[in-house]
Amino acid sequence: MKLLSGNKKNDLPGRLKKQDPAAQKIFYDRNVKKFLSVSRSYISDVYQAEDCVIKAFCKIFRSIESFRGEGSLEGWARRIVVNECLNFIKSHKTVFYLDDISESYLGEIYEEDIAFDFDAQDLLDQLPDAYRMVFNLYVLENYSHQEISEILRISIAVSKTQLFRAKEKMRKIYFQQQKSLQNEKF
Amino acid sequence: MKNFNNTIEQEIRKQLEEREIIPSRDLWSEIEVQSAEKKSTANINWFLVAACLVLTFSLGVILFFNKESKDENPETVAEIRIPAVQNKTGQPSVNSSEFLNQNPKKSITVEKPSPEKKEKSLPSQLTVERKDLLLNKESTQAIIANISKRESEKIFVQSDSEKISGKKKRYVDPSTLLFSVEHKDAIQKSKGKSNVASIEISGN
Repeated sequence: MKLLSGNKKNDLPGRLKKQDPAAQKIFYDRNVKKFLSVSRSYISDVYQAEDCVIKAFCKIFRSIESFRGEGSLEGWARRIVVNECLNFIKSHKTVFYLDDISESYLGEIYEEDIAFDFDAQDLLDQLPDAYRMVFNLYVLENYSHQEISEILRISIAVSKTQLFRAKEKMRKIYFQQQKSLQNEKF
Repeated sequence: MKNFNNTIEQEIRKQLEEREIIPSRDLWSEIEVQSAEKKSTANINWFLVAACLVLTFSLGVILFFNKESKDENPETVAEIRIPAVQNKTGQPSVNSSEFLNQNPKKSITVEKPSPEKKEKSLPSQLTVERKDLLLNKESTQAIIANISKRESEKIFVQSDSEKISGKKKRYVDPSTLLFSVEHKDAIQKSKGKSNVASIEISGN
């Protein structure tokens, strides 16, 4: 039985390509929570994030034929979820990208060891959409600035600026929270 | 740039990679509904394409056959006309007055369909009458003698021809036709290339 179940797992892309409803349900159950987490990191509203996940799953099942098996199925599906979220933000919100700043200034990013636990999602939610998109693509999806500039149709310099400003703003929020916590203790 | 093991950036990545969010509603049922809708819309699109093709094809066929039937109409008119003339010419010995007396309705029915037809049918009738008279040319003396006898018939033919000619206020009778044969200057060619002798009645 274990052998059979193992074979079935390995054959999931093949079954999905045949539009097998059982395979689709298996794939959904296995990935929905993770994909919702990914969607939520881009979209601050949970309901809208869920809508994006629904659309992404429909797209995954519809375009499964284009999956060539070069990477993992989950990785391929995750990219579809991310694209769906980006499309949602582009279509539903006006995103402003601020002017780029000098390279020398970008190099002066001040980083420090964190001393207390914080809610990552809370920090992300406080970022503007433009900052959040670039930050997530760079930090969570490991895209290069070149790739980000192509995805968001911005220049590489603007992509770097957005990332810098996102980090700066997050740090500011983080230290404000740290200060307020210390004040509460005393 | 300083590199720390536990930066904000790394902490965010760690937290979000480990995180899983349970959906607040049944997403699977919505996925099923949406995918089914898309399938049905795709099917409907195919049906619409097929229906449009059938409609355009049928319209094309209808228009094509309509054109053909319009082209056929003049031929049928010609077919109707030719036998009518032939039938009349097929009785050369029949006297024109007799012919008109025997078939007064026929001449009227031929004229009825359209004003153009009326104009065309009248010359054909007259040609018949002229032919009749030509056949009797040999006995012109006898005809001249009969002219007086035909006066009464003439009146009848006059009245009949008045009905036929209608608005033109012209009529032709056998005697005038005979006259026109003898005096060719009076014969004119109509648009239909048929000889028509039109003489105005002076009253005598």
